[in-house]
Amino acid sequence: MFSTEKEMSKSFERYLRANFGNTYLKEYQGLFGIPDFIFYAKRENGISIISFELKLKDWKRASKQAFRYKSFSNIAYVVLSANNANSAASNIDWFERYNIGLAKFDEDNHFEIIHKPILSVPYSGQLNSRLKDNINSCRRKFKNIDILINEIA
Amino acid sequence: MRVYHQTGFRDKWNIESFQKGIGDGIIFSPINIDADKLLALEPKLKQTGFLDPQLYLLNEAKGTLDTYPYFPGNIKPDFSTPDLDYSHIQLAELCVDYQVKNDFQYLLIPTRYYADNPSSFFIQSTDYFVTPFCDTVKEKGIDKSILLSVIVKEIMLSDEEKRNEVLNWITGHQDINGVYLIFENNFSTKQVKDFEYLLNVLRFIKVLKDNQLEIHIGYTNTEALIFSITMPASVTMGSYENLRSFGIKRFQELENGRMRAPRARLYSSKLLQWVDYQYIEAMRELMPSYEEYFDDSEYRPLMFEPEYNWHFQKPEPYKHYFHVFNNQIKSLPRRQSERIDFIKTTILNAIELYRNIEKNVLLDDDSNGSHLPTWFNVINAFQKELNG
Repeated sequence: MFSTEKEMSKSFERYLRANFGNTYLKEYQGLFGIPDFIFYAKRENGISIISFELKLKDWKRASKQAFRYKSFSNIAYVVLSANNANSAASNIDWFERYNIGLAKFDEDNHFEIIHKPILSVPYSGQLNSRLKDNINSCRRKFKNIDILINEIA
Repeated sequence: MRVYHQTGFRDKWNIESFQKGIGDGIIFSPINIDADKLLALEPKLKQTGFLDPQLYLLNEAKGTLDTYPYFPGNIKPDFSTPDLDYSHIQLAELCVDYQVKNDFQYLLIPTRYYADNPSSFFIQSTDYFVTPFCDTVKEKGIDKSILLSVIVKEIMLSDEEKRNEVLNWITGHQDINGVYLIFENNFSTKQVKDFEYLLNVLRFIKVLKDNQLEIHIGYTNTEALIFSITMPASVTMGSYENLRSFGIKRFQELENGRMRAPRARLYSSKLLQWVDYQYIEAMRELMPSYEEYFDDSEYRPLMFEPEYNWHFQKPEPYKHYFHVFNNQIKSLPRRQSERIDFIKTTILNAIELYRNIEKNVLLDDDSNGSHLPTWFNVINAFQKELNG
């Protein structure tokens, strides 16, 4: 069980790097809200952006933050500490309605997706472009992106 | 009920709107406009408004405050409270003279700000400000209404003893015609959502109204609509957030105080809220009828262009607000009971509109309607008290 969000964030960063690559930005500011992580993947059909909001609990607050990230991301996930994810999981229709991803994560680096959202166009072209301008110069490699993205529209 | 422009930084937006017939007058802010520049403004900009003398911190020379003849530092360098013992009459004369020269509609008696009011606060305020000010007006034979500035702290609303003390003090002055009430706002949310606080504000204003005082409420945001059910003479509208919510920081010379820029927002009279523009972009994507939730104005077409570069320093959202909010206040019924019912209906409609929006767009607590149930309950509670 994580005792702080900082601890959870450190573990999740290690997990992200090991399983998806180091194509991410941490606590990137100047957009709409500050996601804990913005993961990006330069693919043939363009750059896909996935934001993560980590929380020990309070899934509703986390989902409001995650919804903001959809302004510039193709996908936004709420990642809850595994021991506190049940109440969110029983409100899965909430996540479906707003097309927000829900996952749980524990200290043993076990990451489980409860709801995988559909890839969508960010609401703000301006914010999305601003973020992509920052990402474009980066040559880092990603992997396993399909685990996070549901491409069926 | 009148609507004044509460001016501050970028007061030209208020002046331009006022010149287009929006608002009933302007409250001028000495920290933001040089004294000579204010004197030189065309009279019709001033004749329906007034000056907030802004001696809150006595000798803190924020902005252009020290260009005013009544600024204590111009009477004596390093002016401090003990200097008021022998300078209060001179200060009052200079303050009255300057206001008279500008030919404002009202003359304002200044007030001071303390984090915690000292026990001598009211006695000192009477001796240093109210008495010399009213004496000066009388001696000079000036025929203008006098308003007493009062900063109302949360404790003055919640603590019965303190509330009675301030109400007794205000109503004890025979020479004043009304009060310029400034409710200090220490809330962290964009809208006030505290039931007790709001109800206490309404009760506070009602006591003053019952004592035949003219009530002008400064630094109001959307909650001006709730306050309007006490039938005040005026409320205010301001551009930046610090003109729609009173905090002393605005009057302090802050060193190393890098302020975080607020996010651009658009006021909706239908939603009774300032909605973050990013949500408007989400609404545009997810709701074909999103424009129906926002008011029309000459600024709206530009703001709703997809290329519009939203920024909190752009004039359009604020000029749009002045237009919309002024109309909203002017559309309120004149009779109190009808006004109460009208605002209750407006709140219920807003709650319904939010229900529709949140089928698609998940708003945060500073853009959603989370304040509205509290507002409805406050009005109901006050209405019950009125009906006894």
